[in-house]
Amino acid sequence: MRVAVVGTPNVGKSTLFNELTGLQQRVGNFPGVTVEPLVGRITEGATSVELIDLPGIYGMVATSEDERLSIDVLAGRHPSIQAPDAILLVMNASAPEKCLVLFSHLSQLGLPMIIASTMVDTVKGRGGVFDDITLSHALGVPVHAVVGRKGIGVGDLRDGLLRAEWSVPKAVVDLDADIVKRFAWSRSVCADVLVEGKADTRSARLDAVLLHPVWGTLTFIVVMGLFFQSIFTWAQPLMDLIDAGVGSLQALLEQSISNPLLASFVINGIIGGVGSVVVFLPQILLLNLLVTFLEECGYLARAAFLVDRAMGLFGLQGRSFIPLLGSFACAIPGIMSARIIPSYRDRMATIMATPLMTCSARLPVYLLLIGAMIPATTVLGVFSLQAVVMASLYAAGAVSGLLIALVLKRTMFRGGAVPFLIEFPPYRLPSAKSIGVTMVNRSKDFLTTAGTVILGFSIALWILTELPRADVSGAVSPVDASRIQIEQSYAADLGRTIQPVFEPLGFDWRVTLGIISSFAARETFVAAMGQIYASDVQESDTQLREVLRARYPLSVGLSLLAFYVFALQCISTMAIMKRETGSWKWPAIAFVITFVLAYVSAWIVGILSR
Amino acid sequence: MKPETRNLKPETCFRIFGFSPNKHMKPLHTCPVGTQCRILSVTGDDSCVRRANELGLVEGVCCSIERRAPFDGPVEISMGRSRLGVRLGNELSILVEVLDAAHQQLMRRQNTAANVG
Repeated sequence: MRVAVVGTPNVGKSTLFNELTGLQQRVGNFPGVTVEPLVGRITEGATSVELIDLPGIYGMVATSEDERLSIDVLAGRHPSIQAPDAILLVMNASAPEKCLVLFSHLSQLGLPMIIASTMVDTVKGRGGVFDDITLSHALGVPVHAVVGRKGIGVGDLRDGLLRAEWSVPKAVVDLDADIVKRFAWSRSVCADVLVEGKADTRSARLDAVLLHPVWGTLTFIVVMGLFFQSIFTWAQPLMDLIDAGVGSLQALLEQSISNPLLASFVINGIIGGVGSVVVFLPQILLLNLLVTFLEECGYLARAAFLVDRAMGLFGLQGRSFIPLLGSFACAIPGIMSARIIPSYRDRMATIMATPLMTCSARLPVYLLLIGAMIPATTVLGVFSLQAVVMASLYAAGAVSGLLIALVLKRTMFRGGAVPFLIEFPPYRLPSAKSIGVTMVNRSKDFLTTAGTVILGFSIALWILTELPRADVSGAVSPVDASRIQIEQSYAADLGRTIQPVFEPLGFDWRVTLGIISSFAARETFVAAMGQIYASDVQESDTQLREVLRARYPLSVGLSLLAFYVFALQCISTMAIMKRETGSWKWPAIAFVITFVLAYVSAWIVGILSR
Repeated sequence: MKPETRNLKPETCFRIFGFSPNKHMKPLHTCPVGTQCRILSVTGDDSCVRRANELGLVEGVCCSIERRAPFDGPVEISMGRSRLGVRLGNELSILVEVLDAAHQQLMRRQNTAANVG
């Protein structure tokens, strides 16, 4: 049995879905689907019901890509997802009008239906009444009153689904009824089944502050500041722990594997490569925790309302703010959090802009190059020139990212405008279980990507940088040995081969080699330069700066900085982009756009500073 | 009311002549915060109008303007149980009739009647 879980947005559909299926769910793997619906399963004995969580809809005409998926599946038009046998309509008891309008559309499909009416506790809490029995008679289908976030009534609903207690709904409106007629019908039903009780004064009082032009904006800045700070600092202890774990695992293996080539492959290629990405797991967990919490408690809709004007300047909508802000820590969790943007076009434009936000992996590169190349003088008496350069690099990244989003929205993602129209749900405490399930699922997604695509890439990079093995006799020191190794590797050959491409920028083959190796992660550039110039970067950062300062003119340093502002030098980001957009086309386009941008700006900067 | 505008739809009249046939009628985004009004028409991009309708912004519905986001941003509208943030502009424009005290009283009476009946 296949049951489609349908509802209007903001009715607590995903909370109910998570409560119903728990961890018995997976991302539906349907070919050619960019919006991947979750598929969950409930079983008892021999009976088993498959639930497909479809994106929220309001009617049977699609406005966005996500809605098209839901509508195509329901109408049986979808090429790869079978039409469901029945519908589970989730409706919000405290605001049922829109849900009933959706019901009037769904009833015309002729599919059997069962209704779960959530948030009955909200109605009761306000001193109101929701009459599910009268509603059930009026619609001709069973109605289950549930409280999704407390799990009340979910057991009955589960039994109802397992026993297939659904029925084909009555015809409630004419086939060709317009929206005004449907709303009139819906309001008349609401008047029969719902007494509202007193108004939601808590939300009104909170909004008086949280949406206030001054206090609301201040709160927004504080919330976003905390949000940003927490990704950076709270995740750090856990990230250090993973780092230390990976390090001790490497040390352990170093002792136990005697063959040096195999040891290097396992330690640097597999564990080092994947470890450098798994390190981001705490950030991803934390960002998802915060985003899901903000979304479910109702603040995200308000935050989107406040910044919508600013984001609108770049053709984006208020919700794009969160992924873009998160990308200043790391583009990987940033791209994953873009799922909160309901419109497909806005989501894609946002995802394409995220890699240009200056992530924390660029910081070591910036610090090294600025320390080496920019004189430590002050400008205008107070500002350090190095700090000014650093700030302008951040600004250049952010502005260019937003401009790319604007251009893409005007060209590639053009089309029927998806208006900015959001509902403000009442403030409520989110369900811990639902947030937990979401976090576990996102982490699974991430680890799968890290275990497959990113593993493959890190092995390829290991082969490039560590093979063929150089003959290093015992006389040289370890740092010299690694210098000799990298100078004789395939990567060095590759660096020399493609160096002419970077010739106009003034990059020699060593810098080119550094750029190639930094595909693993941008900060690898520092390690690679250290390796090439045989200086132990861990111990003496300043030594490497001295070497670089002596070897390269200022123009090369500035060009390199300009290059790193834009270039999408990160295979993990591209792998996650592929994961979230469903095709390699998008990471490829992003790579080309950013590479051209990086190259041209590095060239211009080089010419200007020469 | 000028005779030639009598048979026009309100939004057409507003578009062509730049004034409304009814002195209370105006675009929603020009109303100050706190205005009680009734929606007369929703026009603009097809998809925007459809979405606005689906969210309950349909002809004849009473709503009030709660607040405006800073820097001329979106407007918050409340209608009965639901509250919406809406960006008004070329893609979506809403013409409303501003309700005076007597109107509001009438609407309240209709609402109560609907809830009791």
